[in-house]
Amino acid sequence: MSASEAAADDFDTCFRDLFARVARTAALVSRDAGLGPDIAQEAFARLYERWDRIDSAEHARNFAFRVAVNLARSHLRRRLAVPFGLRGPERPQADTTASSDAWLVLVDALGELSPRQRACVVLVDYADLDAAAAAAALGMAEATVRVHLMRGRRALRTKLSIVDQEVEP
Amino acid sequence: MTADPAIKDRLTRATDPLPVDVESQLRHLHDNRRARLVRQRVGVFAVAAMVALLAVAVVWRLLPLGTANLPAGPASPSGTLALMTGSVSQPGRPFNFFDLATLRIGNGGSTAPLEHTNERATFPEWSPDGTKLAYLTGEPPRRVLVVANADGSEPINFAAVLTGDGFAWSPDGMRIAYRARTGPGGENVADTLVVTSLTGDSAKYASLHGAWQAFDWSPDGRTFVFTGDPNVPASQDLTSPPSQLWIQNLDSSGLRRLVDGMTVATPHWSPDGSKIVFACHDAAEVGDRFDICLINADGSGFVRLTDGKELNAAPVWSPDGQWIAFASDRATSPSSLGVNRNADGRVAMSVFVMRPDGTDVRQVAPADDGRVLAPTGWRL
Repeated sequence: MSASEAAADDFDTCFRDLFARVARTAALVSRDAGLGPDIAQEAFARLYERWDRIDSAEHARNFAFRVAVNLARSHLRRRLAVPFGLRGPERPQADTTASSDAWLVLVDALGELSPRQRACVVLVDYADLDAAAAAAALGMAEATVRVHLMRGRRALRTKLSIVDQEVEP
Repeated sequence: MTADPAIKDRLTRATDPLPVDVESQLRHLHDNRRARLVRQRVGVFAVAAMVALLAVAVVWRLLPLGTANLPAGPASPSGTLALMTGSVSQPGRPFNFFDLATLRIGNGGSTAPLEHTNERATFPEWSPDGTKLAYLTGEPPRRVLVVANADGSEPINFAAVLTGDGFAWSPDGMRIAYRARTGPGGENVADTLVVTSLTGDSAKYASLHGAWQAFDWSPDGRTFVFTGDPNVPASQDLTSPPSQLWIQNLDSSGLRRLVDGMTVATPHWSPDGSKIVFACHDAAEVGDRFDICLINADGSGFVRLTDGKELNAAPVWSPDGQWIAFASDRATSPSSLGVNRNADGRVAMSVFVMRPDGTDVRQVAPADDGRVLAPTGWRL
């Protein structure tokens, strides 16, 4: 196996490990279930272009989440679809998830958070990034991420009526 | 930092049902890799092309590139010519000039006499700034250099000049160079060029040996061009028209012959100092007549601007260097006697202008009265 083939295999492995989580993270941040896979596709396309400069799995993960979150926050649906023609494969016609009760309730609750709070909560509590990685992905100081995370969690708990013990960020 | 388990649980339960076909997305990424690369390169090329076009537009706008931004010469000549007017007694004899006139170019070709000038005046030439007029009067060997206002008013006898037909304004118009028989102290200065300021309170001498006639002062003020022969003693007048064209620096250095073996007359530097125009003809060639000739100031690039079929003489530059005015008999019918004659048998020399490359020849004065008109000065 050549070096390029090995690198392609490594990328495919990374893709299979992370794509679903990146797509759903993007869906949560953008509050658009259909947009998540498109954003993830764009994020991994960019990751592939610079794969020879990615030196670790953590590096690849942080890069993919950073691109996806930034795209989701920028609401680049039109720019993704039209200028670059990078829409993913056709989605099933009947997208029942987008209209499920759990999703609708969650989207409504996430709407109460500011975009920064929402991004911090999703990256840490869903994507399993630590505060430092989330800070790098969002271009914030780590302390700022902790503040947004605390406020976001508090608002989300209230909205979702979660009464479990709150975790200190 | 750990995730909040309760929130993580709610986020996971809400998003797990999202349909994400990883394998399909992976195939899509690989299938579109080449197309994406092409799109990126097209995008880069488009951006680079736009930047290049913008840069070219900026450069084109700001810098003088190509002929489009070169100062184009005026479409038509303008200004006023100073003329010698006269006649010829018979074909083959020298012209008899006896009066001065001006010709406003584009004013129907009519000439106007220069007021206040004396009869038998010749070679009127305005100072470079156009405020003064100098010309010669009198018969050889008693010729006088006269300086007057531009319209010929308030003439003063500036100096007695040696036989010859030349004087030259300095580039700043404050001095005149000429050849005198004697200096201010009565000394013999026949071998020197006298340079006198208009106020008459200073005189400089440049050694200019030999017999010579017409000359002109270079626009940079350092060099003279003259017709003549340094090897003929100054005490002897030239028995025939000069056959050599020379240049020499004002400090008497740099004597150098530019043209030899042709009859030459009335040299004039171009305003930019790069070329010298003069009248010339090959005396050894039967039927050859005076033409307007041009040569680079370094002696290279000799060219005849006219074709020798007619008599062409007395070239003078326009102040902007875009035109050359000259006298020609081309407007009258050819004659075998050497000079063209008009319908009533009299010689007619009229005034024409052309570009410095010999093109765009235009007649600016009529030749209907048998007069001879020869331009010697041009001011705007």
